[in-house]
Amino acid sequence: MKRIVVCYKWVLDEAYIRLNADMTLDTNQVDHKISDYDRNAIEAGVQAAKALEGTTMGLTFGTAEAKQSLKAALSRGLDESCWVNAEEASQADGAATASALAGAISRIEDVSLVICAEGASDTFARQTAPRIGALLDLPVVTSVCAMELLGNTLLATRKLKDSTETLEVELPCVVAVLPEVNAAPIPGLKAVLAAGKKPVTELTPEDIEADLSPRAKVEQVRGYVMDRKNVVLKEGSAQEKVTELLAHLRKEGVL
Amino acid sequence: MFALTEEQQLMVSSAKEFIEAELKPRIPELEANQFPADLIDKLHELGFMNMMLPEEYGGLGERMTTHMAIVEEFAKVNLTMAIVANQNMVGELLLDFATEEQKKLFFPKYSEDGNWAGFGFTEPTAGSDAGGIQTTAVKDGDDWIINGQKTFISYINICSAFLVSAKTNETDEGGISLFLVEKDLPGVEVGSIFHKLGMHGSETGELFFKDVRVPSIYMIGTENWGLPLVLKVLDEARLAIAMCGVGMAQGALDIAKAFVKEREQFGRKIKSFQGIKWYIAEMETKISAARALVYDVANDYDNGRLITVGTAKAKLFSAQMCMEVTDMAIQLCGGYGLVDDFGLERYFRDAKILSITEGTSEIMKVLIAQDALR
Amino acid sequence: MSGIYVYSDEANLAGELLGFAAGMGRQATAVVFSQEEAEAVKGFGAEKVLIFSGDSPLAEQYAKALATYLDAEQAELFLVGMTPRGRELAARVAGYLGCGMASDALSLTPVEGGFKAEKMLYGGVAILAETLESPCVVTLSSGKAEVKSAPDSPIETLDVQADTRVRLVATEPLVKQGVDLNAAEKVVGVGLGLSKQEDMRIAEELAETLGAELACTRSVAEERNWLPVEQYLGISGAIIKPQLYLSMGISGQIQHIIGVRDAKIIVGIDTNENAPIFKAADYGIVGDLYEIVPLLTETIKNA
Repeated sequence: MKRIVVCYKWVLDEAYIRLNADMTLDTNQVDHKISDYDRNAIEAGVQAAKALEGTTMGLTFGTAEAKQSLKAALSRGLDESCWVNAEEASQADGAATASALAGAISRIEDVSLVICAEGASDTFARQTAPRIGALLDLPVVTSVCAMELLGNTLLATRKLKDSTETLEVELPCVVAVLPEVNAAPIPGLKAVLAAGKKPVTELTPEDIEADLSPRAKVEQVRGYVMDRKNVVLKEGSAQEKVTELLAHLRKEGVL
Repeated sequence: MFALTEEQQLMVSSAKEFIEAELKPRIPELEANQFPADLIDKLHELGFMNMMLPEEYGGLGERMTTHMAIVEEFAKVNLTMAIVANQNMVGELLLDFATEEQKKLFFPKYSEDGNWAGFGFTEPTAGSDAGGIQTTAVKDGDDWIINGQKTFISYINICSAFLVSAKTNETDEGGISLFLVEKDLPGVEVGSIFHKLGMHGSETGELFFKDVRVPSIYMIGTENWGLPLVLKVLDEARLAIAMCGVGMAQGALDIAKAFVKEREQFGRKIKSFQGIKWYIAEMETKISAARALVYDVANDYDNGRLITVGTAKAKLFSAQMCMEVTDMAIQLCGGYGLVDDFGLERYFRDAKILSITEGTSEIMKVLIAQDALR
Repeated sequence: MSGIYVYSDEANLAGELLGFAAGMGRQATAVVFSQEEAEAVKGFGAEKVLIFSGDSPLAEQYAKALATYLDAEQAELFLVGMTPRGRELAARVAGYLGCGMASDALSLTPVEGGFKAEKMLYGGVAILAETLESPCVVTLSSGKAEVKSAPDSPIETLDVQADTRVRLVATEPLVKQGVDLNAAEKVVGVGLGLSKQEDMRIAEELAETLGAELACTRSVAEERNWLPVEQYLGISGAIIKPQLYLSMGISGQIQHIIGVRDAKIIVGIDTNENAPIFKAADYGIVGDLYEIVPLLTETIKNA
């Protein structure tokens, strides 16, 4: 049976992170959640499984804390779950994460499709899907806003800045989906209760072939407080003010 | 603090997702007294409605603590919805006191409509004195004929039936029986709908019964012994009201906190003033205390203990606390607290009902003192 | 290790990246995937322009070939413009190289043996500083450096194998779907400074030109019903954190500002010089929005 693997991340709920006086982060009372867009990735997996008449497996790489994520992910409609339990996950960068996930995927049989969200709500690095594709040398499609499966072919619509591309690729492949790919449904309570009965596989670093050492070394994490610049343009002609504003915005990189 | 299990936490997360995506945008409708009935259908589909009923009757066999955790989330956002979004207490009463035949008849109605039946106890001359009612039911063959009037009946717009208390024995003390009376029966008439301070979206008003013929299978419990059942179902409903107080207070406090962190006066954020800090600390503490009390009682319920006095304490304290906290939340926001952009004025108006509905604070004190001075 | 390589599917951004490398005292090589792209970037001061020529019209399908090349050349940095296509190419190259990558860096500075990058974490709650050993890959937004004009760089062509497993079937202009304020990078906010519903057109046109979503204050949604209630921002409405929030005719009352306080850049346009929006904004224009906004739209279009 064809298997769709959906990678997800168990992240801190950023809404509850507080800053200490020295600008370090206080995460003591912060709950974890399934990264926001991973909900859409899971739903994309569920939909793909319907089209392929296959099954879905959630896959996460995390520390002991990520155990809590298994039921949360399964309650969103996945058939089974796999967790690479490693302390290294707390220091992992994009390279280590992709290596762990790719290592696990290569152990899983009959994988037709790997789905990730475009980015995670903590780092939003958008590296996981492309890196997994590279490590497994599979074709990759990112920024997917719509997908359709016709037999063994995936037709993906990819959202670029001011255009969309329709791409065609044979399975197996790796896909990164944008949240607009679907409306992730709210898990029903029956699904929550059923999640505990679904199969879960736990893997350790010894079980997989992976390099879990981070290539990017974290130097510092500090809280960020937005300081507004309060640049008010009131002199000059309308055109002058508009031109100056646009110059500022261009410099800020937000245009 | 009482710790929710992993499953309970996931159910709460589902509720939060629903509240964010579905309920929040509909609050203006509720405030305009239009109840968004489709939301109840969606909640029903997701499994929230009557989750405490056993699976065979369409529920999930969930505990009171789960129900409370979900009520808190809804109440943080809207009281009217919090009361009907989850467990219908008439259903719980049927579970304990209905015959098998009655369960077969009534539970399918619940699986169709999660809020099938509401309470119909209060009368113009009998509120706290639930035994002092004038409505009568007289036996006529296999049927009962009900005559009388009820008032302050909540959710007339969304319930199809009401659990009505009626005198069935003029001579015997306590001769009160309970009947499920469907709203569309001949002789049932909806009277005026009241304009009220808070809880907009629930139509609260009068019900009149004129020679309403009800088959005897619609009588719940033992003839003449309905009053203890009224008190029992109220115990359970009161606990939900107590949790509504916790949720609303938390919702109001969250808004006030967002404000004091942002608002600057005299050249600094007002959260840095000690006077403000003290208010916040008091509000936080009171809410935590009320929440702990509610969970304590809910836990007792789940362990099969009597909760009459515990519930009375929880409701008394939570209603007072919610009034104080919503009042203080407005005070912290000054003029902004009064305008409806913030929603705080709604929390304040809604808070007042907590010390009146399902038994006044004074009745709660009577129950608590009776127990204390036995 | 030697050599900085840059790529962006937007020529101007590629020019900025070359300018950025120049700012670090380095002359970079521009990577492109077609003759047209080469022509577009050759005047921006690259050491050379390198065309990777193969059988795919999609830049990101050259990731493996490019990684092989960068590895052989012992490149120290592959600097890529922060666009959807650029990000995919960059991360796939990093994957094939098995090297570190900083996505959407706020700043990038050379250090002994590599680079130090800063980036946003938790949607803007924190900033992460990390060091990357060479070789490494970094994506960078526009606006980090100026494009410098220079004499044409030499152009070289390399014939390589592209990944042809992903085939381009069609390209279409972006059709806007439903509004998702949470995911929106740019948001245009409308307040009661707009006097008639027809005037929403001014805001819509600016939003369209910017590729932004439209949002509003509570009164615009609830009292005037010009936009659905889901689109009002504030303490009792949606709370968003876009890259750019551009408000027009919004005085900036605290209940509204709480909904946008986490935006990276806030812009206010209002007639009242003393409106609180200017205290909450990074940039403001005091002026009549009926004059300023259409002019803004037109200036962006003509840029």
